[in-house]
Amino acid sequence: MILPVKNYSNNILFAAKRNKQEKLENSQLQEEEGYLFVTNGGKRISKSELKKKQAIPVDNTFRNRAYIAWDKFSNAITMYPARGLKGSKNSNFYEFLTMGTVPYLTGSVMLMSVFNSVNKFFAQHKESKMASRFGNKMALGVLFYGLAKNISESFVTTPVKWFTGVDTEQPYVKLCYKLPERKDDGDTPSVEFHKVYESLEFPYWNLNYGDTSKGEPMNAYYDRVAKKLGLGSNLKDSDQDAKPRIKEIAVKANLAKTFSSYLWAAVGVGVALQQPWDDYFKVATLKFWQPKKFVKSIGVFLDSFADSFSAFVKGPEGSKGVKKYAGAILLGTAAAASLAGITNVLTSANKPSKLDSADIIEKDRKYVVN
Amino acid sequence: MQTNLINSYMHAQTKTPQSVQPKPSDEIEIVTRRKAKPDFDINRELANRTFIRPLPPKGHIVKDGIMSAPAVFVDDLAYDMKALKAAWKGEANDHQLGRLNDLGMKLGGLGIASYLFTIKKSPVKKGMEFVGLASFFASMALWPKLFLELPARMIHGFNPFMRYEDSQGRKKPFFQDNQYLPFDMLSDKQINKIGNRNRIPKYMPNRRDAIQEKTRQIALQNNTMWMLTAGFATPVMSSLICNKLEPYVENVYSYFMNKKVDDILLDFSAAQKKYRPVGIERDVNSLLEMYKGRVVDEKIIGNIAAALTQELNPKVEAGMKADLMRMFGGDKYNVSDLQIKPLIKAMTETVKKSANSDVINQNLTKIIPTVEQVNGLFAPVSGKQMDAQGLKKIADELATLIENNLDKLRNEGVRINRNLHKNIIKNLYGKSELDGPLMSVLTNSPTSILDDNAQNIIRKIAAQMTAFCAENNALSMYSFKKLASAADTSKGKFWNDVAKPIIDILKITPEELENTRYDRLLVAKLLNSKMAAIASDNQMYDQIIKAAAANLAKINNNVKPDDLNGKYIKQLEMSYDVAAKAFNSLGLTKTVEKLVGKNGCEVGSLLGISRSFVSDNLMNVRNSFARFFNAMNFYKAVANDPNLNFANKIYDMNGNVTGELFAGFRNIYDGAGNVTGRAPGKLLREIKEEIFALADYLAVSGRISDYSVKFEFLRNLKPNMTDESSLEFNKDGSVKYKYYNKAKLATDGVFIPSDTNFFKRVMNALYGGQIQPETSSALEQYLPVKGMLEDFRRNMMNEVGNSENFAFPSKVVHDMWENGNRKYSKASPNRMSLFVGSALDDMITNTARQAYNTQKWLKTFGGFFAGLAGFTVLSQFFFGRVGNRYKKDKV
Repeated sequence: MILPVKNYSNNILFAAKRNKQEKLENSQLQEEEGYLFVTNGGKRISKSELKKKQAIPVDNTFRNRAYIAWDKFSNAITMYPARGLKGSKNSNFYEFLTMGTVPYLTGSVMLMSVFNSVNKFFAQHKESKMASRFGNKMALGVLFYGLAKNISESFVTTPVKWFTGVDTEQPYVKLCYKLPERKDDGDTPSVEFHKVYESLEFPYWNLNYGDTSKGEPMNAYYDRVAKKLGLGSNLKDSDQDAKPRIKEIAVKANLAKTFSSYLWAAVGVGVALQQPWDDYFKVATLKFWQPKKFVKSIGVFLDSFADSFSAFVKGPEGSKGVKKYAGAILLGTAAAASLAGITNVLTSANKPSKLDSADIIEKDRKYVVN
Repeated sequence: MQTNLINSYMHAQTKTPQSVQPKPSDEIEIVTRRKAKPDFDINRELANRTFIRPLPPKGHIVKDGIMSAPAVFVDDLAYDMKALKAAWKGEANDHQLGRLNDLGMKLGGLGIASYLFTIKKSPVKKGMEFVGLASFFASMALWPKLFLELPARMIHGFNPFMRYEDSQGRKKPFFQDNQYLPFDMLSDKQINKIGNRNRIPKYMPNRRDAIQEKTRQIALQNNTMWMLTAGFATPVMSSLICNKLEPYVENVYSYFMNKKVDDILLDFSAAQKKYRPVGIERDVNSLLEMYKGRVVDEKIIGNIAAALTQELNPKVEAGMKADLMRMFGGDKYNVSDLQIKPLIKAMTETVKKSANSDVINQNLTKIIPTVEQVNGLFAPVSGKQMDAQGLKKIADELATLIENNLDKLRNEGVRINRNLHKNIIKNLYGKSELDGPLMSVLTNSPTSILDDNAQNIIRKIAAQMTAFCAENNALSMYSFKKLASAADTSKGKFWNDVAKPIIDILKITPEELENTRYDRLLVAKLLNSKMAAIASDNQMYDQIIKAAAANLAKINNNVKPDDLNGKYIKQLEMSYDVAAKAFNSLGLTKTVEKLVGKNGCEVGSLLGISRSFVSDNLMNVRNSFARFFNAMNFYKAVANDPNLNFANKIYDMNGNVTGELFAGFRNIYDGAGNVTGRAPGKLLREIKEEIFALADYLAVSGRISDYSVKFEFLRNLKPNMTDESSLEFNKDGSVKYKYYNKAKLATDGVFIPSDTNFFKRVMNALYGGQIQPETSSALEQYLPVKGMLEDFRRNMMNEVGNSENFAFPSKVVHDMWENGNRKYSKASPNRMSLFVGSALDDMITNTARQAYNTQKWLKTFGGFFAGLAGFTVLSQFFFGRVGNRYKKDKV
């Protein structure tokens, strides 16, 4: 299945000639000049620079993350499924993975709906009220699951970044050329947002080298990380020293992030199911154009959150044993998982030493050439 | 295990020449041996790549099947564990980390289910949390399998979700990356098979490429469809699964719960061990340790009594406390000469302190009684035990001595202020009887101390109490699990099992459920009309009575009334009897009273409560369901005899006819309309309608309050006096009212409490006489149900109808006489309410509402799911068609 691929050239036509859909998708790149929304080093990335470099790191800021999330989501519900349903050969693994968020979102909405949408038909007083109360909490549970899961990932990644200088979530923007689907298709590039360490077998190491053409030192980033990791300063090849450690850190952080975030999500669900939320649902409103009610609703939300959290930790009144401490145990497990994960990231057994070339092959070991 | 390429290469290099070269036999050869290189230069070796070839690939398609599933599961688990270890060390690869994400998700799910398990109240709901979790993950896996993979296999001949294992042993979906597809794992034969199925021309050039392209497209479309639909499908599918599984979970739980509970009576000694409380002896021992050697007071006794009766109710605790107080809590004190000196010291200090004047201080020796004086008071009682009252007398006499001394001083001319005098006497006493400087010295040697003897007795009581509570706990557990009005008990399940099918048995349609669900009165009306309609059709009546009776007979499966009335009560009596004897021998008479009652009267005792818990609960269940049969029987009776003659009879205690109620005189008219005389009349049509209307209401909606305080029914004061015809029926079997409700009852209707016969007729219509022959024959196979119905009718007539102030003061409906005296029913209001049972409309309203809610939910989401599934399956027919047009084979 090898199809003709037009080789890379600097003369990229950023406009697809015929395909309207492709045009839409690459509206960012319609014109040669102009900038992407995302920034690198605080400045918006220009399209021509991306065209030249193919991949450029993006600042890991809230603004950029939010934009990337929006870009991925909007494509995941429009462009990618359209291409996928057509069976296009340009639908790639990135698109498949990005579409993976769709079932999470639709599933969340559906789960809320399963518990709520029929309640209005139930008898007006008792059942309807009980069912809505339960349904509301379940819906809140779904919401808190997602929020807790996403927010708690930073419980691991942020301390790891502080202590090691390695940002395991570092995003980058990549230009991706599509295969021509028809004879007269021009170059049809699309923009993808990846993370430097999304593959730990093949991290995009290059992105962290300095631009020597601009006079930046090549190993600036690795110098910094090596120093922070205690590998020493003024190293000859700081990148070679730091890379194995960075990889180890990224793998360990990934594990810690995954496991702890699902536990935090469970905590989120637990908090959402507490009694005090009933107060909030009595006044809950999203009608921000009624400022008085809206502000009141937010106030009660915060109060209810605080009360629910303490109810979750303290357990039901008058309960004993596991029932009383279930919430505290779940919270403790989640916190312990995050903490254990961070500790594991920060303790390393293999601090690499510089090796002489003569030592590379040890005679009593077996080697495999792939 | 990887083959070591370099080693094998080197091995081959050194071995091969020797083996290939033939050895000359007699020639002498000069061998120049190649010396091994001192340093093996890897770079040189690697540069010579022509010798080194890649290993043959080991990748292959994974064959997933039911047979291999357990092995695959174990394999995958081992892989995950290895991955976990590697990730912890920071060595995992991308595939391993991906697998760990799934593991983490399951772990989080388990966390949620476990937490919910702890906060849910009933065991079935707890269990359902894990069923919910499992069903969610199952739905995630099953949705693509059932609605994408299966149709795709059938239509396109391959599995778009197949997996392969690469050379490194990593299992991946074959089509996960649309731009990297390892088609070389599929043989020409396999590919061609897919091609044939998809009707790709057999003789086209590059057929394999064309087939692969089509396969790729179909798989990509399936993957996309999966992503688009999974979110909608999974939660709904999961909740549908849960909805369908819940009754089974209930049944399984109920089966094991009942087995466990039945075992209590089967092997009572084992149950005793199981339910033996450990707290009593432990707590009592620690209390005794704490209070050892201390003076017994009410608080101590109270604490010990509470510890002893911690497993029982507060009444028993009060009894135990009274007993212990009597046995150990007496207020006796030793009196001895040793107290004389401290007494004098206390008096001196008190007088000094309260007066604080030089005059008093100078004359102190004259004021304070001498040792001889005090000795005189002590002489008769010294060495004896006295109670607080006796000691008080001594204190009083001491105070009198001081007072006398003060008077004497004053008489001698010493000026002592009156107030000072008063103050001194006042300070000799304390706030309470046992207080004060004198009493505190006198009571410093109490006799009631928790000594070894007392401790031994209390320990014996604790041991006995533990033994009794072990039995009592086991028995309580039995009766609770069988009969309590709590979630997941046998009674609760039985109630649901019987009440739910009544909706189907009465053929209540979903529309009727929807229309009546808000209002009990609407449900009552619906039931009235349904039952009347059934009663009008003999065959249907028979069928429905049988179905309901068969349903009710289930009570013997789980609740087992025979066991409760037999084995359980027997064991209960035995346990209480043994305990009563044991406690009596220990002197705990009050406690025994609280346990088994006094003089053979159990009311209010623990035994009485346990006994009535069983009988009340059973009676309530039985009568509530008997009402259903009785209501049906009533409508049948009306259908059989529209003249309501059966309502106009007088019945004895056993339901036999002993006479007829007097229906009043009627005028006899001649042809010209003149009254020619008077004769006993028949029931008027309008009265019959009124009787039916009230009975109709009572049959379905009657509550105990209707029978006791508000038997109000608006009637027409001036009924039509000439119409004595029988009731008429509508087509659907309901009664056609000719007069009733036509006279604007709300404004013109009156309540006529004085017409006793009217209420008698209503009660007769509902409960009088024998059950209808149709009911009797239908219940022939279900004799216990028939007995239940007859008991219910008899109780309603003889106990409820015959109570002294039935409906209104002095309005007995069912007159009973004994030796010339009226014999009234002695049933308490509570018991009467048990006789009446729960109203049918209540019972059905709740059940119907639940049934409606479930139906509505199922209809909405079941419909949604069916639509989504249909759409997904249908979409398969459109897959693989974009741009894949081929010239057909020339035949």
